[in-house]
Amino acid sequence: MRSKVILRVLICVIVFVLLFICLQRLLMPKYTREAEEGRLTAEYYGSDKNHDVLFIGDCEVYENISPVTLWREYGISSYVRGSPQQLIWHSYYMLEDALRYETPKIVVFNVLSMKYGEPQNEAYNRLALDGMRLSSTKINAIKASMKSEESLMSYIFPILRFHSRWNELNSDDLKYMFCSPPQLSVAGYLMRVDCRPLKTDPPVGHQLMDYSFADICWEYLEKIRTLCEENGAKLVLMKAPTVAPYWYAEWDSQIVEYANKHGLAYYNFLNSVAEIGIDYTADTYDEGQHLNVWGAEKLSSFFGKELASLGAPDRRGEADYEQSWAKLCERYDEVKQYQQDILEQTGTITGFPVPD
Amino acid sequence: MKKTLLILLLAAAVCLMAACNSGENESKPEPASTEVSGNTAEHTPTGYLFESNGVTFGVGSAAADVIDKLGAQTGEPYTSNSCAFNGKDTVYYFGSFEVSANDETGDFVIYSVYLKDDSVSTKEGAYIGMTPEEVKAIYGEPAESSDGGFSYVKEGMKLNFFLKDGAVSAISYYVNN
Amino acid sequence: MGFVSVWFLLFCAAAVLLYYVLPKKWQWPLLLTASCAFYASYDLRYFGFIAVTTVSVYFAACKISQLRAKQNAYLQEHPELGKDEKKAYKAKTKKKTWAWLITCLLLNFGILFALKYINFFIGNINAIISIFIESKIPTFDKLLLPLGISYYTFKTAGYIIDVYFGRYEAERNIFKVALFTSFFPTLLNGPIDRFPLTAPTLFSEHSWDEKRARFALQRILWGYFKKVVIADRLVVAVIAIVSDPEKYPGVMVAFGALLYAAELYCDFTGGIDITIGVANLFGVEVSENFLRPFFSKNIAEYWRRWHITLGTWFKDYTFYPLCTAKPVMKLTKFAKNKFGAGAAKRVPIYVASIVLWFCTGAWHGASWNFILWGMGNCFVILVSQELTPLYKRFHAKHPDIDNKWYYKTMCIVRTNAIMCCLRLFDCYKDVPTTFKAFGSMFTKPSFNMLNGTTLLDLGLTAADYAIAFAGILLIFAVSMIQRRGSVREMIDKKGFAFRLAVFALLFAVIIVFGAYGLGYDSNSFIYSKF
Repeated sequence: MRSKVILRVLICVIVFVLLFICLQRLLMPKYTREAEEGRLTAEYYGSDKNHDVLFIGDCEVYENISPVTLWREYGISSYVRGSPQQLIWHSYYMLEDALRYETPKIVVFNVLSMKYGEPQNEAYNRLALDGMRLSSTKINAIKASMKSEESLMSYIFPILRFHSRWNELNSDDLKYMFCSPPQLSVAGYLMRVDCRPLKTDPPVGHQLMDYSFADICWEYLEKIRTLCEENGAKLVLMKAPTVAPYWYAEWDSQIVEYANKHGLAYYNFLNSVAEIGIDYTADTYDEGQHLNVWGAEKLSSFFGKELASLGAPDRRGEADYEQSWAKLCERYDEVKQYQQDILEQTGTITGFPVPD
Repeated sequence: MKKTLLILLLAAAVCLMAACNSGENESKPEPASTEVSGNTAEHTPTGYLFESNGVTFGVGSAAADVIDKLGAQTGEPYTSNSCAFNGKDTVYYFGSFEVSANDETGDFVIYSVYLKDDSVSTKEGAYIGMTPEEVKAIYGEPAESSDGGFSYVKEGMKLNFFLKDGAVSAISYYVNN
Repeated sequence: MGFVSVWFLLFCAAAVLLYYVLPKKWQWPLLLTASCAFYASYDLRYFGFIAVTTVSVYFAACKISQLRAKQNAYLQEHPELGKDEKKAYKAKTKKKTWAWLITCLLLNFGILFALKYINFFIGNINAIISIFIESKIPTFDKLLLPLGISYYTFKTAGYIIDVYFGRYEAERNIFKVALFTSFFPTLLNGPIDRFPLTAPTLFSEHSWDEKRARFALQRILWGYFKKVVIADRLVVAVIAIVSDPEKYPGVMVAFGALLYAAELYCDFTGGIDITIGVANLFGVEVSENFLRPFFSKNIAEYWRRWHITLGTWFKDYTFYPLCTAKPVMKLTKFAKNKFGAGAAKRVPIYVASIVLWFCTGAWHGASWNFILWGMGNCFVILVSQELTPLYKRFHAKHPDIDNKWYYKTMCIVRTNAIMCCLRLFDCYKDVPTTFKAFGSMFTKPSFNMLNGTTLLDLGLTAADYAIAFAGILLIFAVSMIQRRGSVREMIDKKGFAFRLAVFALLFAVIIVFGAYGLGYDSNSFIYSKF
């Protein structure tokens, strides 16, 4: 009798837990039709954790750096760990999370996020953090990122946030309930093959009252530097060659000073546009805000030389690397061709279309 | 029992009469009145206003009502998109000033007007090149002040005066978040 | 932490686990610890107030019991004392015990008054003064309102009054008194329990009872369903209607009143279900506070079914004592001499009813809205009593009508219509606005406003209305079934698989359709601000 009761209790617990899990999996947004970048964080876990260079930052890295180009030209194995408007504390915890799986030799941080000293909105927090595997790093990331109206529990049990999606469910929610949607990025890089040229001079930023970065940003930059040091990784700072958001000279000088103080390499690619060969009438898909694949390949080709000089090893010829990068290169070419076909057929590209 | 029924019937009759009158008394939503004087934009702007080409507007005005009336643009507008979402932010260039609009609130509204040189002034007469004292003589003591400039807050917007070398180097109207 | 939070569920789970793992003698101390932790999670500053109440009530009750025991011992030791001497001795003891009682009640009700009513009181004084002179008495800013102060003040007042009247001995363990005062499931929305009803199960040792635990969890689920799926969903539309009476007059006032009735019922009874369910998990019995009130056929019955413990508290500690109070008896005698037996019969009832409903209204909130709401209830009940001869004549002519479904339905609809009208005082921001809104139902019916566009303008989608309506139908069906017996027992009899399916579905409905999370404020149980 007692064992019957225990069995029933066990069955109840299992049924309720399974029900909870299934409902959560059903109602979590799959980011297949909107805000596709929400898949980026989780895609990292499917990669072979054999990266010598890790890029962290916002769309200025994941849309402007092509790891496949770095591999093809320099044998550099890299990954871009980014998310939309990734704030510096997101970047820190993304790095800490990645370091649980691998130890890169170089970590490249894009400094644009130094301008954001406060959580921006819940949506960007979600896009960055929901895909992270549950760990103490994720808990700390949530606590550092949460806006006042958010709750920790809604990140640990995302159904508490997304349950109201029940009347927005579509076939993808059912299709990808227990499996991942098609790989959106290639080693963390999101590709666009189309072009929308910059038609005017690059926009100039308005004068600001105060050019100083928030204390919290300096705190996290220092944490990133220390974390890299503790893990034997070289921290490299970069600023992507994009015309918006505007990167003020006053901001740049602070980064230069910090880099000099700590002996860090800092590459402001805005100063090397001509040298890189970027043409804002051909190498951008949104008037210079992000590079398209042609611009990303140019930048990566240029940057790769620097990374190699900083000690990024050439892994060509090593069997494991050749195997995993062969697949990635194939996927890269596949995505490029797929988008070019769409462009040819329809004349326009929306989002980041990829083949299944 | 008869008395009770009679009372109920009377009460029902009163209710019916009230219902019959409802056609006259019911409130129908009326179109919001719009003040249109001269070339003032349809949206009634609040806070500090800016005038150019006979158009008076402020932050919060619908971009569609204002931009085409401000005269010839001196360059292609620049549109940037928000990451991951469909938000748009456009800067319109009018030589001495720029107007920025975005759709953060759902409608495409102006959130900033940026004055770049002394050929334009605020509606109250402040312009680039003035000293802080001259500006304060017009607007009074600012709500916020720092080394980089000072700001006046009014009805959900800020009027910013940026300083360089002791003089106003730029002026902006901005939504106060 | 409110009821609708994962932290509360985890907290309860941890408390239940410890409760049955630890030695049984530590069970009630664990409940006290958990109650303190729960209270502290709101605001540590509240502790001072509940501690003062606990300590004052404990000491006063012990003193009263001590004095009475001393009196009994003395009288037993001195059988030779005459009747007058015994009377005098008893009178002396009574004076002392009365002093302890009054001091304790004044202290605790004084705290309640100071924190909850002082600004209302000062506001009214200022309104009167301003007729004559300019100056105003300043009100107090930032007054704390400790969690559950209305509930625990009344609970402990009932306790000490009972001890004073010798209904039971004072509890000698201060920590048990503390637990009775602060038992955490009852802090947010009652019930206002009586010590002898709660104490036996609150302080006794409990073994794990699978069926009791199962029924408790089922009740908790049902409570969350009502609170989170229906009440928290409807409140959006209610607030939209009542916060803009100019925009939503006439039929929208009636619609808002109906929504509010459903929302209030689901919020309050949902909270009580969670309270009783959580208490039952620990084996603690807590009074029922609702008994299908919307099935009431008259107002008096309604108040025997709605917020039962508040009603019985006021009946036992306000109404009956007032009816038999010396000043009221004097007034009754005066009325009899002046106006006859009819008037004399009415005096105690009228006086006690007016005071009772004034206090009931004030208990609900420090504003004239609530007081007028109370007075409105009083008026309807007294009028109903005055019409008793008319009803008697009617029923004499139609002896079987009470059993006819159409008559019962009419009575239920009438009762609910009256209560909906009275509840308008709850909703609108002040008395003039309430009357204006009520009047607009007749002067500006605006029937055409009851259309899809207007309804969807209230902050709810068509899907929200569908869910709320389906939920209300389900609650109605369950209430109908409940009239025949315990619904949980009926489900239990259907077998394990059926039971599991029903409650798994209920769980899924709460998780998916619940109006919680970003954009919802789950902590605002309507009654938790008391």
